[in-house]
Amino acid sequence: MKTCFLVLCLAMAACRPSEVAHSDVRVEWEIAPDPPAAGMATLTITLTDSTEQRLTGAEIEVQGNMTHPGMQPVITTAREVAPGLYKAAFDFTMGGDWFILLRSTLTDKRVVESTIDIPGVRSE
Amino acid sequence: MDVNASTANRSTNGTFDLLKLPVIGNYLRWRYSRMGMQLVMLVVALIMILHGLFGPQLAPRNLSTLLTWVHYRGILVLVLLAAGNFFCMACPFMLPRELARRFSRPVQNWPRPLRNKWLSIALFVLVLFAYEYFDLWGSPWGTAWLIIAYFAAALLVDAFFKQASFCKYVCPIGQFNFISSTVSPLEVKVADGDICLNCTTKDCIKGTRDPEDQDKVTQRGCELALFQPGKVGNMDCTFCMDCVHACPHDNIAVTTRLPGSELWADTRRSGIGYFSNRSDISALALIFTFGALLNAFGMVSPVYAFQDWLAGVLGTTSEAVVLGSLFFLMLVVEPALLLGTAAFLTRAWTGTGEKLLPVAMRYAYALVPFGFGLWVAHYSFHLLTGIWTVIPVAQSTLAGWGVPLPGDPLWRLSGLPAGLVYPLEMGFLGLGLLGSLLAAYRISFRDYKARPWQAFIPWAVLCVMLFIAAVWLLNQPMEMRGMFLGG
Repeated sequence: MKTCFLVLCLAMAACRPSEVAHSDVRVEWEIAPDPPAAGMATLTITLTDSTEQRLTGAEIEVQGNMTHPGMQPVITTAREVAPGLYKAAFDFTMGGDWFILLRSTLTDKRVVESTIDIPGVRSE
Repeated sequence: MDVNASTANRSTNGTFDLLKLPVIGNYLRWRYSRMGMQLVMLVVALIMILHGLFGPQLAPRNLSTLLTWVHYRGILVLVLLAAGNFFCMACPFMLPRELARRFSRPVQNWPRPLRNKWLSIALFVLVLFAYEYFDLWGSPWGTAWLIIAYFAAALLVDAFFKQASFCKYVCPIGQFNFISSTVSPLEVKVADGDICLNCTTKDCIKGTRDPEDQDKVTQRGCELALFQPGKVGNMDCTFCMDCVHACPHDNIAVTTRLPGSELWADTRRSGIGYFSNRSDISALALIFTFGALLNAFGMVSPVYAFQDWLAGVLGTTSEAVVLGSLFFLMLVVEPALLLGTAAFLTRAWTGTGEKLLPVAMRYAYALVPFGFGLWVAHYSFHLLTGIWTVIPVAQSTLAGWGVPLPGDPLWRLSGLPAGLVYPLEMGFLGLGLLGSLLAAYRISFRDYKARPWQAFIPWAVLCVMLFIAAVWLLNQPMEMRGMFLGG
C-alpha cells in the first residue's frame, strides 16, 4: 500500500515540468562522508555538457532542506576547485531526511536546477 | 441530576466574560461570526489542497505540508493553551455540510451503539499511524488528500445524520481539541444560573423557534447535546456560540476558570454523563497522553534503533507490522502496565479492595495536563523554529501563480533558534506535570478521604516518570526521517 502511495506521489510530481530544464547539462555529485552524518560534509559537484566536457565558471548555489517542513535551510555556495569541479562545505544541522537543491548559473547565463535526495542522515 | 440546584450555584456575575469585551465580544456575538472565521479557514484550506495536489512536491516548499504540520498544529495547541477551542469554532469542514443541509436535512439519528468516543479514538490512532507510515509530513500530495478526506467525511456523516454527529462521534481532530480544551482557561457557560431556573423555552438546547411557525428553527441550539444549565467544562464543546445566539435571556458567557479543574469534577455533565463512568473518554485521555509520547518518539534518533530491534525480534521486514507493534506497545501495553501498577498500589495502600479498572479510569484524566504539555512542547517547537518559513513559500507560490513580486523568495527566513525554544518546551512540560499532579491530588482527596496520600503517591510517581521520559525524548537528537527499517 505504501508503495502505491509513493508511486502516486512520484507520478504527480513527475507530471510537473522542472522549472528550468537543460538536458544537455549533466550534474554529478558526491558527498563525503558517505553516508553522511549530522555535522560538516563536503559536496563535490561536476558539471558536464553533452560532449562530456566539463563546464567551467559556473556559479552554484546550494540550498539544503530537511524533508520535514519548517526547518532552517542551509544555504551556501560551491567553489570551483578545478576546471568544472566544484566543492561546497555543507553543514547537516541535524539528522534526518534531507534534499539539496542546486542552482547552477552557467557562463552563458543558462540556469540549471537539480535536486539531490539525501535520506537518513544519522544524528551522530 | 437536579439541574436547577446545580445551576443556581454557577453564577459568573462579576467575573471575566469574553463576550463583554468591546471588539472581540461584539464579534463573537455577531450571528455570522463563526461563518466568518470558517470562510477564512476554508480559503486557506482550499489553497493548501490546490498547492498540495498541483504545487511542488517538496514538503518545505509546499503550503499544504508547511501550514498543516507546522503552523496549524502549533497555533492550534497555543490557542487551546491560552484561550479555548476556537479552532473547532473556525472549522472549515463544517461549511460544505451547512450548505448541503440547506438543500436536504438529515433524518437519521446517529446509531446508538456508536454514541461514544470509540470510533473517533480508532480514527485518531489511524491518523497518527498514517502520519508515521506514509510520512505525511513530507508528502504535500498525501496531506492534501487528508484534508479532502476530512471535508468528505464531515459532509457524508452530517448529510445522513442529524445534529453534529461528525464533531461529537467521528472527528479525530475534534476529540484532540475536546480533551485538550479541558485544560483551557476559557469555558462557555451560563452567566447567571438563577435566570435558567425560570427559563421555560430552553432555547440553548432546543433552538429558537419562529413565533409564527413553531416548526421553523430560526437559531439552532447546541448540536452536541450540551444543555447549558447542566454543562460542565469544555468536553464536546466546539465554541460554536449557537447557545449564545439562541439564549433569549443573553445569559451565556465565555468566562475564565481554573484550567483543568473539570478533570477532577465528577459531577454529571449534560450530554456526557459522569466522567468516571465513561470508559471511552478515559481511553481518549490515555491515547491522547501516550500518543503525545509516541508522536515525539517518532522524531528522535532512538526510535530507529528500537524499530530495528523490534523487527529482529518479530522476524519481519514489514514496516506496517513493526510500526503497528510499536503503536500497540506504546498505546496499549505501556498504559496498561503503568496504570495497572499505579491502580494496584492505590488499591493496596488504601485497602479499598475495588476493581483496578475503575481506579485507572478515574485517574486517566489526571494525565491529560501532562499529555497536553508534551503536545504543546512538541508542536510549539516546530511552529516557533519555523514560523517565518511560510513567507518565502508564499512568495514562491504567488510567483508560480504569476503574481509579480519584487525580489526573490527569502529562503533564509526560519524562526527562533532551537536553543531559545528549548526553555519554553521545558516550561510547557513542567506546567503539564504540575497540572497532572494537581489533578491526581484532587482526585485522591475526592475519592479516598481516609487515605488520600496513599492513593496519590503511585499516581504522582507515574506522572514524574512520564515527565522524565518526555524530558529525555526532547533531549534526544532529532532525526526526522521516514521510519524505514535498516535505513
